[in-house]
Amino acid sequence: MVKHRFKGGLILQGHKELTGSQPIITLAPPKRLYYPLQQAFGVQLKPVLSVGDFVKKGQKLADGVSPLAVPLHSAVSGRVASVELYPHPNGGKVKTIVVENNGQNTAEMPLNRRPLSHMTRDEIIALIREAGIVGLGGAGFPTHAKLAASLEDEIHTVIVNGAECEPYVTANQRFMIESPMRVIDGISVLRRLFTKAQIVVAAEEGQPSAVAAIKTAADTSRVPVSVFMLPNRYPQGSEKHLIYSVTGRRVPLGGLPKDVGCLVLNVHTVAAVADAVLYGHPLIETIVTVSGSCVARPANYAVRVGTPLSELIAAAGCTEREPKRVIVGGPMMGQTVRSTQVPVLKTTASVLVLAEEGNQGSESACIRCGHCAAVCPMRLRPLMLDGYIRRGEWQACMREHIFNCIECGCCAYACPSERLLVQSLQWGKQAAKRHRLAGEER
Amino acid sequence: MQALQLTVSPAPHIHGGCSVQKCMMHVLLSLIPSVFCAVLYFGLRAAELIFISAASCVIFEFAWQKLRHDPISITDGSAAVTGVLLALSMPVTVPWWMPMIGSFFSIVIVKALFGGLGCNFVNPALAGRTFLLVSWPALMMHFVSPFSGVSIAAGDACSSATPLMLLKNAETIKELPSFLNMCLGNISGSMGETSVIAVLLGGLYLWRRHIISLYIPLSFVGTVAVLSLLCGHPTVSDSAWVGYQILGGGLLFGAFFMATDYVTSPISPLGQFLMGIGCGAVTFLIRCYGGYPEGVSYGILLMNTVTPLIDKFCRPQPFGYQSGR
Repeated sequence: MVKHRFKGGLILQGHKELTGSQPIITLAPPKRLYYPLQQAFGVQLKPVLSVGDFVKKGQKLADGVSPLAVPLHSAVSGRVASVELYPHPNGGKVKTIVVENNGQNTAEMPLNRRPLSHMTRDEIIALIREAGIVGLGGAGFPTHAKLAASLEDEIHTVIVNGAECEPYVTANQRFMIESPMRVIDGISVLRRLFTKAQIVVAAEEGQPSAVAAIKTAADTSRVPVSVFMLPNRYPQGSEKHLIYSVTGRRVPLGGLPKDVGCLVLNVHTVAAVADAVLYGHPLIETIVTVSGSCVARPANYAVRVGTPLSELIAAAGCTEREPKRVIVGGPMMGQTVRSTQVPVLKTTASVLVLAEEGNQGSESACIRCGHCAAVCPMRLRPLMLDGYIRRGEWQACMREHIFNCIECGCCAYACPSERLLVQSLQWGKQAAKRHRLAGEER
Repeated sequence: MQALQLTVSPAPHIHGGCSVQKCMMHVLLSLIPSVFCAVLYFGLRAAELIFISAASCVIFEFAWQKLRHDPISITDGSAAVTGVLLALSMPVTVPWWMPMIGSFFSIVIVKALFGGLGCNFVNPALAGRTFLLVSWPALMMHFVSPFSGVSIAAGDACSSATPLMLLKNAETIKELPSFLNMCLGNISGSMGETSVIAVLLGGLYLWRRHIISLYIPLSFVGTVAVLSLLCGHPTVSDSAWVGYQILGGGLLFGAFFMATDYVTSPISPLGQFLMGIGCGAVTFLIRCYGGYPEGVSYGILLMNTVTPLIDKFCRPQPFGYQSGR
C-alpha cells in the first residue's frame, strides 16, 4: 500500500485497545487553573491582567512580543488569583498565572464575527495567532508562524496528521471518530489559505473507524480531501517521515517541510483553526489520553488547558498498583514529571501513569552490536555519536550529522546495554551547537 | 495524590527487552550442536577441555575485575562465550593447561587490558587461539581422527591430517575424506569446526534470533568459493576443490561464530559485506600460497584491525541528506 517506506523504526506494542474504543469524557473545569508564562522554544509571555482582576472564559491572560509568541487565554471565568512560581511539566518551577474558577463560565465575546470569504490571508493568520494556536502534535510550534512562512505558491501538499505512532495515545483517533466535521471545517479554512494545494488526511492502518468517519464527513460536506493510510510503525508521525511516506520527498537536512512544498498540521490543530476562524473561539481545551497500568478507567478526556494533572488522574481513577512514574506525552518521547501538580498544556496529548520503574541509569558498556544504527529512522549511528559526545569530539559529531537526530528514542529502546543514548544525544546537540557558534565567532 | 513518590527518568520510558546477557545466552545456545558433535566425535576429553576453557575465562575476568575494583560483569556471559569458542577452535589432543593459558591471553591481555567488553580491537577467542598456535605450533596442530577417544586419553594418539593439510601435499590427496563425512564432522580437525551441519544449525539459529546478520558469513564463504574457482587446483576437480575449501577447515565456524563478533566487526551492512570479502581473500591467500594449511584465524584477525577504517568509510547517508548542503 505505502510506496515509500522509511528505513529503520520500530514496531511497538500499541496498548491502544485500552482507550481506542472509549468515548471522549468531558472533564469539569477544576477550582484553580495554572498557566505557565514559559512557552515552547524559550518564549516568555507577559501577563496582560493584574492580580485580582476578573477574567472571562476565553479572555486573554498573557501575550508576548516575540514573533513566536502566542497569547494564553483563560479556560474559565473567575479571578486572577496570583502570579507565582509553579511546577512545569518540563521540570523546575516557572512563573505561572493562577486563575480561580467562579464556576459561572461567563464567556468573552468571540474573536471574530466576519465570514471566511471576507477575510484576507493575513487577517486569517493574524486571527489564528490571536486564538493562541500552536501545533498540538507535541512540539508546540506556533501555527501562525508556520502558516505565514509557507507561501501559497510554494505549497503543493498540506498533510493533516492523524497518525499517532506513540503507544497508548489515541487522542487523534478518538477525535477523528467523534468530531470529523471539525477537522473538515478546518480543512476548508486551509483550502482558502492554500488554494493550489492538495489536502491529505494521513491516518494509520490501526485507525479504520477514524478513516471511515473522516471520509463520510468529507463526502457529506463536499470538501475534496484524500485520506492516506500509513503503516503502524514508529516514528511514522514524525514530520519528515510522514512527508516521505505520503509524497516520496525527503526534507533536506536542517530544512523545513516547505522546502519540499509540504505543510504538516495535526488534526487537533486543524480543528482549533476552524474554531478560531469560523467561530472566533480561542484554544482553551485539549484532548488528553489518560492511560497506563495504574489507571482504573483509561480513556480520552476533553480537558481545559491549565488543569493540574492530579485532577485528571483522579478523574480517571487509580488501580491498586502503586504508581512509580507519571509521563506527560508518549512512552517514547514523553517526559516524566516529579509532581502531579503540573498543569495540562495546550500540547499535552497524553498522561501515562505506570507502575513500572524506568531506566535507572544502569548502563553497561557498548558492545557495538549496531542495533541502534539499524533502527535509527534518520540513518545515523548513535553508537558512534555517543562515543564522540562522551569524548567531546564535536567536529566528529558534526561529520556524523548529529543535528539530524530527532530524539525519537528508537536507539535507546533497542540498545541491549541500556545506554542512555537519547540523553547523551540531546546534550551532545546542545554542546555541538555551542562549539559551532564559538568556532564561527573566531 | 500528593504523597506519590514519582521517579524521574529520561525518555524513552519503555525498552525492547534485549540485553547483553540475552545475546550471549543465544550465542551459547547456538554452540550446543557444535559442542555435542565435539563430544560425540572426540570423546569426553572434549567436554573437559571446553569446561576448563570456559571456567578459566570466567575466573580470569572475575579476578581481574576484583583486582581493579571494577564492577563484576561475569554474569553477562561474554567471558563464557569466549571460553567455549576458544576451546572449540583447538584440537582435542592439547594438554589441560593450554586452554588455561589461551584464556589468560584472551581475557586479560586482549580484552581487559584494552578496556574490557566492547573495547577489544580483535576477537579475544581468536587472538587466544592464535597466540597458542604460534607458541606451541606442534601441540596446536596435532589433530586426530574421530572416535579415537581411548588413545587420546593415553596421550599417544596417532596424528591424522585435516583435509586442508592433505590438500597441501600432492601425495596425500588420495586420502581426502568424503563430503558426507565432512558434513557430519567425521574428519580430523579442531573440536568445533569439523561438523558442518552443527555449525550451520548454530549459525541459522543466531540469524533467526536476529543476533547476527548473514552479510559477513555469506560474503566470507562466497569470496573463498569464487577465489578457489578462479585459481583451481592442478589435480582435484573444480567442484571438489571448492567443496574442500568451504567444508574442510574452519571456514564456516569462523564465518558464523568468530567474524560476526559484534565488537570487532563493522556496523553497517555494506561494511560487514566488505569485511567478509577481506576475510575470504586473506584466508584463501594463506591457504593457497602461505606456509599454513589454514588461514581463517589470520583472515579474521587482520580484518578485525581494519574494522574501524571500514566503519569510517561506510557511514550511511542520513535521511534527507543532499550533497552540497
